Amino acid sequence: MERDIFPRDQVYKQFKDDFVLVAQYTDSDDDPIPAQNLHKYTGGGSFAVPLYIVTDSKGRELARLVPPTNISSLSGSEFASFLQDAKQKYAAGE
Amino acid sequence: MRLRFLLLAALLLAGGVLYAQEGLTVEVQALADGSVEPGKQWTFKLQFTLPEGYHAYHKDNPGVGMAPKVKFTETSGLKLASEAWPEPAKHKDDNGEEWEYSGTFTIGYVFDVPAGASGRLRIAGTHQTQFCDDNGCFMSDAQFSADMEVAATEPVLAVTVAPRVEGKAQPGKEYQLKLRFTVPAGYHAYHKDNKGYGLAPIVKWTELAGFELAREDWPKAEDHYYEELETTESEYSGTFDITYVFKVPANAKSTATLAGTHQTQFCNDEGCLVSEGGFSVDIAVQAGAAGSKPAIPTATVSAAFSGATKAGGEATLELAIELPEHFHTYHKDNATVKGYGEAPKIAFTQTSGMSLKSESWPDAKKVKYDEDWYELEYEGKFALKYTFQVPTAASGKLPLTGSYRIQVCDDGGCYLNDGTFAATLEIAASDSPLPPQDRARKDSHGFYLDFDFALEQARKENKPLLVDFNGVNCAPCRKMEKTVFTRPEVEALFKGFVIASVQNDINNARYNELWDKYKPAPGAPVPYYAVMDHDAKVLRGIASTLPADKRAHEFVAFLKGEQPVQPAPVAVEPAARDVAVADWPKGLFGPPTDSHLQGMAFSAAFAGPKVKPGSKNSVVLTFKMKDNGAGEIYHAYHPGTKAREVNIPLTATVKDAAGLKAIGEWKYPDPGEKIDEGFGEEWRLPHEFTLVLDFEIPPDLKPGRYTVTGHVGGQYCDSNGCIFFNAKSPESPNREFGWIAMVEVSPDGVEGGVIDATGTGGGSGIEGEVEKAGGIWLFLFFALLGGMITLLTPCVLPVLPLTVGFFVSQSEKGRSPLITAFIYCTCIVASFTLFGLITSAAVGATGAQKISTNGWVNGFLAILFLTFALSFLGLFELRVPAFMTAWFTRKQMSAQKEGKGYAKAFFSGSAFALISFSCTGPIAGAFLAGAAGGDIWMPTMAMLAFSTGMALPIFIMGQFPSVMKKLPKSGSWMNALKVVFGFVEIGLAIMYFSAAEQAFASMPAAEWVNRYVVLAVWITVSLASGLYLFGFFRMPHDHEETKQIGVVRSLFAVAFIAFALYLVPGMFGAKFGATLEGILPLPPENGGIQLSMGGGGPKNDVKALPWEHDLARGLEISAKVNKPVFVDFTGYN
Repeated sequence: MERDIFPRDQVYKQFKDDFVLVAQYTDSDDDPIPAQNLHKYTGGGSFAVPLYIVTDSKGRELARLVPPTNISSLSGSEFASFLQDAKQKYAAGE
Repeated sequence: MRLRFLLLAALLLAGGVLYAQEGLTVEVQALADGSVEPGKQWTFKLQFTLPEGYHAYHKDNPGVGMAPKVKFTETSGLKLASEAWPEPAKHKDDNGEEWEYSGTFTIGYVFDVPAGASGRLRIAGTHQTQFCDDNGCFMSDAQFSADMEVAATEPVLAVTVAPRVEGKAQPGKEYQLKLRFTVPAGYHAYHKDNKGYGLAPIVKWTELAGFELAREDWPKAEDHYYEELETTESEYSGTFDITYVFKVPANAKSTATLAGTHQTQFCNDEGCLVSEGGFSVDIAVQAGAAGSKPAIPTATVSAAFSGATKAGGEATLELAIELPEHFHTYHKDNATVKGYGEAPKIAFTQTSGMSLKSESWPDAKKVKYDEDWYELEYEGKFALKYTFQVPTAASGKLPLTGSYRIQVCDDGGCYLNDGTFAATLEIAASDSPLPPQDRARKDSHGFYLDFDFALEQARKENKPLLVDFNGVNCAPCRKMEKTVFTRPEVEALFKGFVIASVQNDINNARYNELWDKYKPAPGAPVPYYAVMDHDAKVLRGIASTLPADKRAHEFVAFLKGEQPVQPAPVAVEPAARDVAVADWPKGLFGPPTDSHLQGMAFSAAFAGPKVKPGSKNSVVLTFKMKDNGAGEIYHAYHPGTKAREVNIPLTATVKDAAGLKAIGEWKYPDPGEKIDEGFGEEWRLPHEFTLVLDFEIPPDLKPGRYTVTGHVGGQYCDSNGCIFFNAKSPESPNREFGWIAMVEVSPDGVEGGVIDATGTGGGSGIEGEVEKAGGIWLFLFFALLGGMITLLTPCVLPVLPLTVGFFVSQSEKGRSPLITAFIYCTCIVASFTLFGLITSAAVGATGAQKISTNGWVNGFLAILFLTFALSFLGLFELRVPAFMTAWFTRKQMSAQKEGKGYAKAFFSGSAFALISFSCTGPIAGAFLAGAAGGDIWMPTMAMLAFSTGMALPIFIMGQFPSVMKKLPKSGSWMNALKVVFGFVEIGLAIMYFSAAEQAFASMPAAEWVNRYVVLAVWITVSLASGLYLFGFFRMPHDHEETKQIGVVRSLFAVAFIAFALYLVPGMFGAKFGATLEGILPLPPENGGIQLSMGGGGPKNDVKALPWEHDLARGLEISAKVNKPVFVDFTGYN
C-alpha cells in the first residue's frame, strides 16, 4: 500500500498539500498509544491494519477506508477519490 | 509439465484469487429432489459440471488441489448433518497423489429437517470451485438456490413452532426473532399473563450463540369469559407470533445458531393437550458494526491447566489456539528466518504467586516466500505450553489470567486479535500452607511460612511473635524488605522475635483465614506488621501509609514498642543565587517542571552578580537541550522561524524587574539549523544557547539584593513530537515556567555585567559578532566601490573634466585647491549622507526588520528599481526637478559674480550631486535599500561610504589634475555600463517584487513571483548583459556599433554569462551558497517547478513527507494549518 498507492501522483500531491499526515504503528512494543488510538476509532476488540481514517482537527472521524482483503485490487484513483471525499467533508464541516 | 502445474496450483493456494476465464466455468446445479419430511433427514444435492479436460478435487485430497468450497447462506431452519462426496479418481505420480473429479459429479448434503418444518423451504448458498488442467488452475464461483415443499404429513394434533428469520443481526445491536405458533383448528393456546386456568407456552432457549434475551413481546390475545368456570381466559387461536428481542454480542460470528424447545398447552372446550418440540434457526450476522467494520478473522484461545496440582510442584498451562480457516500465525522464532510475521504475544496478568518456569512452542511450518524470505507459520489448531512453579504455600483454587495479541494473516493482509484468557489451577486443600515435613521452612528473610508452627516456636523460645502480613504481588512489601529489613538496627531487633510471613494473595486457605482475622480494617492494604503474644493476640500493629524508605524510623519504634519519633526535617540549603521553592514569588509561574527539564537544562542569572548603582547588567537565560534517549537532541525554535504555523518559538518575558530598567529586547543567538519539513523553514535554536536582556541599574537604587523574575514559554521537540510549555495559565500542565535572577547592588560592586552578544554556547557569540561586523565592512566597501563606479556613468564622467577645470581655475585665482576640493567633495558626501540619515530615521522609527519585511516598502523599492532600470536602458531620463537644480545653479552663478569662490564650491558640489542623480540615484538607491534591513545606522553609513567613493577620486583629481588623463576616455562603454546597470536593476526589482508578495500574503515564500521566477529573470538579465557586452545587440542610446571588444569588457561579459549558467541548476531545485541564498526567496511551498535532475531525490518520496507519529500532535497541527488529518493505522510487521 505505502509502496504502491501512496507515491501515485494523485495521492502523493493530496498528501503533500492537503493533509496533516499521521502514521500510527499499532504493533509497536514501545508505544502503546497508536494501538489505543486505533481502538478509539474501531471500538476495541479485534481490528485489521492497514486502516485509513481522516479526521478533523478535533479528531472526529470524517472518512475511513478499510482496504479490501486483496489490497492489490485497490487502485490509486480509488484511494485518491477517498481522499477527495474526505477533504470535501472536512470543508463542509468547517 | 507436472512441476509447472504444481507451481501454479501452489500459487493459487497461496491466495491469489484467479477468476475463471470468460466462458470457462464450473456449472453447479442445485437438486432439491426427494421428499422433505419434518423430523427426518433430507439430502440436498449439488451437481458440478466441469469444463472438458479439467478436474476438481475431493475434500480430503492429499495433494495440492483444493476442493470446492460450499457455503450455505440460507437453510430455512434445516441443519447440515453430513456431506456425501463421491469417490474420486486417485492419480499418483512422483510428485504425490491427487484425488480428482472430472466431468460431472454430485455432492450430497444431508440436512436434519426440524419437526416443525412446514410449507415452502429454501436452500441457498455459494460455491467456489478450483478446477485445473495440466497447464493451470482457475476459480469459478457462483450462487445456487433451490426451493422445495415440505411433504404434507399426516395431520397430527400438535402445535407447531417455526422461527421466522427477518434481516441480518448487527453486532452490538438488538435483533428480533419471531416464533410462529400454529395451533390446530378449534384449539387455542394462552397468553403469558392469562388470569384464567390456561397455561402459556413455555419456551426454553438451549443455544444462544452469545445472544442475550432482552425481552419478549406477546401479541394481544382474545379474552373469553367462561360462565361455568367464572373465569376469563386470554386465548390465541390459529397462528400467532411471539417476538423475542436479543442483544447481539459485539463479537458475534457471521452465523449464529439459536435453538430451543417449547412446551405448549392447547385446549378446546373438551380438554387440553400439550405439544412439545424443538426449533433451531441460523441467523446471519452482518459484518462489522453499522456496516463499517470489516469481518475480522478471529482466533479462538482457550487456557487450561494440565499436569501436577500439588503445592510446590509444577503445573502446565495449555493455551490452545485455533486459527480461522486459511489464516496463519507465526512461531516466536520467526525473526530468525527473517520472517516478518509476528508471533502471538502472551502476557500473564495474574498468576496467584505461580512463577513461569518455561514455555514451549510446537514446531511450525517453514514456508518460503522468496529467496531469503521464510515465515514459520502455524495453521489450524496448535497449543503453547507454559510451565509454572506452584508456590509451596499454595492451596485451594489458583486463578490465572492473561491477555494475548495474535496476528492472524492470510495473503491479503493481517489482523490483530486481542483478548484475554483465564484458567484455574486446583490445589488439594490443606490446613497448613506447607506439607507436614516442611512446616519449619523459612523464607529468604528467615521468616516462618507456617504461622501456627511459628506460634509454637514463639512459645518455645519465649519470644513475641512478629507477623509480616504481605503479598506475593506487593511492591511496597518488597521495598520494605529491601530498604528497611536490611538495616542493621532492624536486623538486630528482629532477633528478639519469632517471625512469620503470611501472604494474603496466594489463595491459601489458612493464610486467608489469618488475614481475615487480623487485618486492621476491612480492605486494609499489605504490608501490615503485627506483634502478637503467645495466644496469638495482637499487641501492636503498624500499617502501611508511607513509602517504605521513609518509614524506617517508624518501623524501628514499632519493633521496640515505642511511639514513633518524627525525624527532624532536613533543612534545604538554598543554592547560591537560587531561591528555595518555598520563597517562589507570588504570581510567578512555578519553576521548570520535570516535563520541562526532560528536554533541556535551564538556568537564569545576572552576568554580574554584584554591581554598582548606575551601571548596566544583563540577565542571561542559559538553555542546554538534552538527548531524547534515542540519540536525538531536542530542539527549540528561534522567533525568526518561518514555519510560524507549526513552530512555537521560545520566548522570554520579564514579570518583575524589581526597579531595574530593561533596555531593548531579548537578544537571541543566530539560529543553528534551518530545516524545511513542508511548513516553511524551521529555524532551530542551537543545542546550547543563551537569551540575554540588558538592564540598567538606576543610580538612585538603594543598595541591596534585587530579584528580577519572568517567564519562559515555547516548546521543545524531537522528530516524534513536541512538549509544549506555552500556556499562560499557572494551572496548565503545559504552562510557561518562571525564572528568577538575583543581583546585589552595592557601591563596591563592579561597574557592570553587560555582555554584548548572545552566544550559541561558550563564547562563540563573539565570533558571530565579528563575522557580522565583517559583513558590514564588506558591504561598506562595496558601497565605496559603487560610488567610484558611478563616476564612470555617462551622467558623471563627461562633467568630470569641467569639475577638475573648476578646481584649477580656482587655484589660479589664489584659492587653495585643497580647500576648494574639500568643500566641493564634502557637499557631495553631505547630500548623499542626508538621504541616508532620513532613511535611518525612518528605519529607527519602525525597526529595521519591519521595514525590510514590509510589503509597501518592498513594493515601492521594486517599482523604484524598475523605473531606474528603464531609465538606464534608455526609455527615458530621470532628472531632479529643474527648479532645484536651477536654484543651485543661480546660487553658483551669483557666488561666482561676487567672487565668493568657496561658496561657489559649495553650490557646485551640491549641484553636482543633484544633476548626477539620474545615474547615481539608482545605484545609491540599491545600497540604501540593502542597508535598510540591517542596523539603524546602516543607511547613513552606506551613503557615507557611497558618496565618499564618488567624492574621493574627484578630490584627488582636484589636487593632481594630471590624474584626469588616466581616466578612461568617453565612449560607447559608458552607455554599456548604464545598460548593464539597467539589467542589474531589473534583477533587483524582481527580487523586491517577490519580497513584497511574500509580505502581503504572509507566507514563508512567494507563490507567484517565486524563487524560480526571480532566478529566471536573473539568468535572463545576466545572459542579456553578457551578450550585450559582447555586442550581440544594441540599445537605444548606443550610437555607434561596437567594433572591437576590449579586454575588460570581455571579462565582464564572460562573468555575466558564467553567472547566468551558474544560476541555471537553481531552476531545478539546487541550492546556492549562503550569500546568494540570503538574497534569494525560499522555494514556494506549492507548485513551482517540479523537475528533477539526475541528482535530485526520488519522485514522490512518501516517506520524506512530514509524517507525524503522535496523533495528538497531528490534530494540533491540523487546527493550525486548517487541514484534515490523514491517519494511517499500520504496523511494522
